[in-house]
Amino acid sequence: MAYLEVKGLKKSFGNNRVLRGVDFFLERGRTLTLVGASGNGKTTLLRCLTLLETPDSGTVTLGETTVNFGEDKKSIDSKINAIRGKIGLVFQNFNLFPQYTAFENVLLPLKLYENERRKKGLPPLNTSDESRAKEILCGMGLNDKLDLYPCQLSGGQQQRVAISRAIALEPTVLCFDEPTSALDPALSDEVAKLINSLKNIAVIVVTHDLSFAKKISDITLEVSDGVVKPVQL
Amino acid sequence: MSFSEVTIQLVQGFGTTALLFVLTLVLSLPLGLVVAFMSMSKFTPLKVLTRVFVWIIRGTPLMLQLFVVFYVPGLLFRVTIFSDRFLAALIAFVINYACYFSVIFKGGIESVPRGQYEAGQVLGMSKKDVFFKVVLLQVVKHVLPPVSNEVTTLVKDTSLARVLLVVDILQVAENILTAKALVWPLFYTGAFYLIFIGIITVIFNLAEKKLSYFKV
Repeated sequence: MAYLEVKGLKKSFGNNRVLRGVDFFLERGRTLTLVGASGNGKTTLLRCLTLLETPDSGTVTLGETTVNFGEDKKSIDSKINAIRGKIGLVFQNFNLFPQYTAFENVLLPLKLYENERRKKGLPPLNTSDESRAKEILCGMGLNDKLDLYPCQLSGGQQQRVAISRAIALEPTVLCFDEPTSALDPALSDEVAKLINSLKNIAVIVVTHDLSFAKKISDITLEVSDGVVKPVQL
Repeated sequence: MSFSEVTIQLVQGFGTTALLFVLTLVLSLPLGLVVAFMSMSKFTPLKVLTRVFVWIIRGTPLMLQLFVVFYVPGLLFRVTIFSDRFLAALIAFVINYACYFSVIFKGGIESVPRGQYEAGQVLGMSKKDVFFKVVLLQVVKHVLPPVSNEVTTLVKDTSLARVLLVVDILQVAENILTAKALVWPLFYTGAFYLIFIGIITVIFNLAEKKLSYFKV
């Protein structure tokens, strides 16, 4: 059964119609790669899915929640708030918070999330924020890097911190924007292994690297002329 | 007049200088942040009005603004609003420095990459949390050097309050010159300014060093 379903997604910037009606669905535990030439709307699609851009029309269904972008703004905003945090994103340049250590980068959103739960009267998560942050980072092989700042980490290590930060909130969909572009080729395999090890979540990866896409994909869609079509790698 | 007598009088005058400096700083820094937000507002009339106001304040001499604050309310409303000259000077200084700080803060806020805001957004943080927990410290790091520059200028600018007959350290030295025909106390005031600015410089250097652990 589809966990993430996108129907008729459209997005324009002025007269530039970037997405002209995107349809696809994705199940949990599957990895979808979006490929295509630069400027064809891959990143815009990803930004629409992660709600960094509001699509002009269409629907995004995540589990039980459907956001219909044709509805009024208030209704869209309340639904966006409901699914925000369930869709994680690992940015192309990671966007780690420079003033925090690797550990604090993972801990901060966890703490804020926990505060939100407390405000809503929800019970706390099973493990403490600190031990969860530590557990995830150690799981990424960053045991000895917990107290280092992003500027003290290599590109690959920064990416693993960014992935840790994204999965800490237990998203059900995790998106990656060009995960190999900031890394040297030797690290690509490592990233592919990491993505393949992510269980029970739907993964969407935007990449222009077809050999990388081949290593991780269950489904590959080509973004072209504002629509998506399946391709065989 | 002995050296110690002069020193005591100058210290008293410097009290006014330091008070004007501290109060201006305490009030203009937060006001500058508010003005910065107003000048970046999505509500165009507010943004334009704020930017025009900042342009006027930055485009006219502080001395003129001191006169405007002190005299214009009386001329317009036929009432003396500021019987306290120190208060009038303080208001003019706060408005002037808030406008200068606002431009620095605006630059600092705009220099934080959009990706930092987006990262917070994707992680489900509220706008308030993104600003206070993610952006603010990066802004502080960006603006420390130009703010330190403005603060040093403020120390020296306080001497302009004399145009409203506020008795600051330079006014005291001038009074001594007139009354006792002693010119050296006037030059001696330089030592007070230098020591004070030296202390401020050390404080800002320490703050910059404290924030040097991360790169923006």
